[in-house]
Amino acid sequence: MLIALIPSKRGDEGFFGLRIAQEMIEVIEGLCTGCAMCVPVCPEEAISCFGFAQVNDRCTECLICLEFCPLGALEKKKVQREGHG
Amino acid sequence: MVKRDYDALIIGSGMGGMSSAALLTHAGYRTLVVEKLPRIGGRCSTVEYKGVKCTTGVIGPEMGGVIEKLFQHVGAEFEVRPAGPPHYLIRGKILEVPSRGGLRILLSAATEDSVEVDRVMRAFSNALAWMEPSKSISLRDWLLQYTQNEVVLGIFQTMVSATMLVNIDELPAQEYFLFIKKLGGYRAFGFCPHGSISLPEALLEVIQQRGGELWTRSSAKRILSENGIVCGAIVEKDGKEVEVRTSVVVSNTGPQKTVELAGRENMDKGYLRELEETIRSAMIISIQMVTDRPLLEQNYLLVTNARRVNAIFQPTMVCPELAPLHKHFLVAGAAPTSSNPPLHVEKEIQLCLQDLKDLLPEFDRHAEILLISTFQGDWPGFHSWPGYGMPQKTPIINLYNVGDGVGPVGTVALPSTVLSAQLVVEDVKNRIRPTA
Repeated sequence: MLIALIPSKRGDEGFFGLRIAQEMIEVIEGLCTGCAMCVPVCPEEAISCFGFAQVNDRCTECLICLEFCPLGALEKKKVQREGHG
Repeated sequence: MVKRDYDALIIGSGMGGMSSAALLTHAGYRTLVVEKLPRIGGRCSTVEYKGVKCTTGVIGPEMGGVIEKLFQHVGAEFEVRPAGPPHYLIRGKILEVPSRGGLRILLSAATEDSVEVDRVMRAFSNALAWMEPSKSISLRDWLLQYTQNEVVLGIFQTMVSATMLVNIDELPAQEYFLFIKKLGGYRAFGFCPHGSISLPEALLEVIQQRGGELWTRSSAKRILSENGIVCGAIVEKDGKEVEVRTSVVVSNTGPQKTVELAGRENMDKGYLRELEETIRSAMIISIQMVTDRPLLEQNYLLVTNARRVNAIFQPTMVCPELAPLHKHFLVAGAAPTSSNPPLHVEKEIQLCLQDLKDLLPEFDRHAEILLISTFQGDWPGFHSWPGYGMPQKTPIINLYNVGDGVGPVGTVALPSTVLSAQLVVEDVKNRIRPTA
């Protein structure tokens, strides 16, 4: 589950733009060695590893994986996206 | 900043760190171990997944050698069950190999040419007795003087890559024979019924009984030195920095990380150059699986001439506690064709999976893959290839390294790590007295 915040919106019903801010766990390329030690500690089974860890949208940002990564290769990051409808 | 005083600080709770801490507390030193993770043991630890006690690295610790002796010396429980004699898969046939006289049996399975077998055997015993090969020739090139047989070469490739984690064209022949002489080729090993973590946990019990301390979730940020002599470290504990004052620091973080922590500017340039030229981390791949039936008849199988897989362990045959009732736990080990980076990780893993499908006929139907791990970089198979270790001492006085990047020549894996700890503690005991 991803929790999204909406810092700003513009426009009206039917034609609007949104800025969505999400907090996500990001894998830092270059630090992750693919050891897979983050996989078993994730309570949501949101991490897979096939040479490189990947976090899917079942992640609830409980941050347990950050504690168990031996290389500090996972970090919590704010991601902002533009959307419209 | 809060300040704390100890006789010795150990950074990292891998087996090098825990062995050092156990020996130091046993000798009366007030010792603190700091570990950045919530779990101890580093690559000799256990993580439970889907009811299986998966390993963070170590599968089969050596029995009857230096590890067991250290445990006896400090009074720690060494709970390891023998894995039994090795079985080899050679040319489609499975062969049980006795601990003595095994090489002739293996070679005879590889070739019908008895003259070739005799030639290799003679060269082997000469190399062990007096004709030590040079450092500058690889084991493969050394073997090629006596045989061109790919199956024979494949047997050596399996023996070497499964225990020494490099390929035969990368291993100096001299190092191989030193290893055979020193450790008897890692003759006996076993499995831990409660997972590899039971080894560092047993040492921790001893450490704590004797007043030593462990801080988990505590990360060393800087190693402090004055006039070239170590004097402590800054450790982040519960979000706050603590100054640990001590006259001995033992780093189990790998030689390169030790330099980072102590500051390159505080290290001798010659040492830094040697570090750069010497250290090369050994890469391996491990695949951990759970199955609803045994997929091997043996406790473990050494596989020759496969694409990548060199060994498959089924520790639940002797330690059923490692998996839920009626389930089996299997670990396959594999060596990439080159231990030099970059690792073409997806291709290498695919080749391992193809091997497993070929080697285990019921793999697709009965095996669930739990973890595919690549060991490289700062979480390596070994911090340095056998024969490419650094000394335990650093240019900063009383700052030492322990672990598989600084083991004595002719040793590998956990025995090497434990020996590095013993050497460090002996040096400390000769030079620094514990405070009363």
